[in-house]
Amino acid sequence: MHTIPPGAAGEHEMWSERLSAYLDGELKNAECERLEAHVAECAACAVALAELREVMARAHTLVDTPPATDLWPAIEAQLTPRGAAAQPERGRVIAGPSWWGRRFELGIPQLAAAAAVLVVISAGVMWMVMGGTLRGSNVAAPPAPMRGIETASTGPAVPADLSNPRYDAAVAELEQALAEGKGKLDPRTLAVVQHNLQIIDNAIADARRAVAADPGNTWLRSHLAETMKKKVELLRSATMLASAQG
Amino acid sequence: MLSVDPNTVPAGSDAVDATLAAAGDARAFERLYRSHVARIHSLARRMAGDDEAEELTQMTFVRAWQKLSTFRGEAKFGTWLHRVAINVILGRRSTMKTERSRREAGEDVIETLPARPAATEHRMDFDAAIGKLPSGARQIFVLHDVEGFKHEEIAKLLSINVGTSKAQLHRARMLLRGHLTG
Repeated sequence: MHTIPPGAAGEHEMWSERLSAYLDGELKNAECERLEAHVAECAACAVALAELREVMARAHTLVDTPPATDLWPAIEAQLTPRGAAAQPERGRVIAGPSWWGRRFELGIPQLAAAAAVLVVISAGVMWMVMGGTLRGSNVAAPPAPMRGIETASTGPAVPADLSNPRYDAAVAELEQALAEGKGKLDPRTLAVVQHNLQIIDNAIADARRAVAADPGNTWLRSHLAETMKKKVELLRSATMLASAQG
Repeated sequence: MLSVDPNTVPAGSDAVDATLAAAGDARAFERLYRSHVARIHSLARRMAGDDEAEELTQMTFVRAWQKLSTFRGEAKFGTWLHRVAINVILGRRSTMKTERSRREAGEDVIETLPARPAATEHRMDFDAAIGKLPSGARQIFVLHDVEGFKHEEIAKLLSINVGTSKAQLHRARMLLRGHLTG
């Protein structure tokens, strides 16, 4: 294929064009040896080879930067509601987990109430895990969920078992509802839900151990609370999705 | 004292948020947007240029929202989203029906450009230098050297042959080597 003898006219052009192939490991051994022999005697190709190596290296060090403006509002405006699971129609009756009202048929008012209960539970979990005090709140009632992260270790001790009967009961009911409705879910969707529940359970277990070992760490408490909330949110979404499929 | 593995929790969070978003949770999808917008926007900017980057980024996330039900969790969400972005970017340019002519024109431009840019351009930012490459060479350089695609994959994506992909990549690299000091 490459029959140009060493030193012949055109040899430089031929190897110059093959420097990238050499760097990408696409040349056979014999070709590599001939190219290396040429580069050893050709200053231009030696410089080009070194610079091509640097170009390739630089390509891996590029820094990703976000857009100058926040695109989320424009994106959000284009998101179509994802069926009944996302936005039940007005007055539509869908099945829901029994703990919402000890019934499996829920209307919009009941769903609204259920959502409120979930908010209370989520806030309660946050309040409980955070040891009853949050920045900007010194009242006894559970505050709104905290969005920020604090790193100072200022929180008081929390119960050793970090238990919350309402949270545990809500999770148990949701898990039961999901178990009863899982047959309505696409098997792949169910697999994703179960896989992610396992991830969350592992994260909760890790966070509980971390808080137990360092009970004054506010960030750890916040992390645990957020993780526990995620489990409720995932169970809620999966249950509603199953209900909407029915 | 932190016993939580910081490398595992964020990965799990993406998967959880993807599941929540697939069920209709826009807040979860916003978290995914916040996590990945820089990478997607940078990909769009490098592939298509500043003028189209924001629109392509928006299109990517809207498409991802529509296609979330096809995300099976077998790959990382970021990897899946990246593929969506590639398809959006290349699909958009394909529908403009100018890609082939641009690529052909790009080859002409490459042939006529000096092997090394003028000294005044040496200080140009390397990322900006990529943006100045001819369209075809730029896409192939970004896909291969920045994003790690193989020539065979690139050839399929761009409907060109493997030899063209290799030649364009070499020419893109040769053009860029003059901007290393930027």
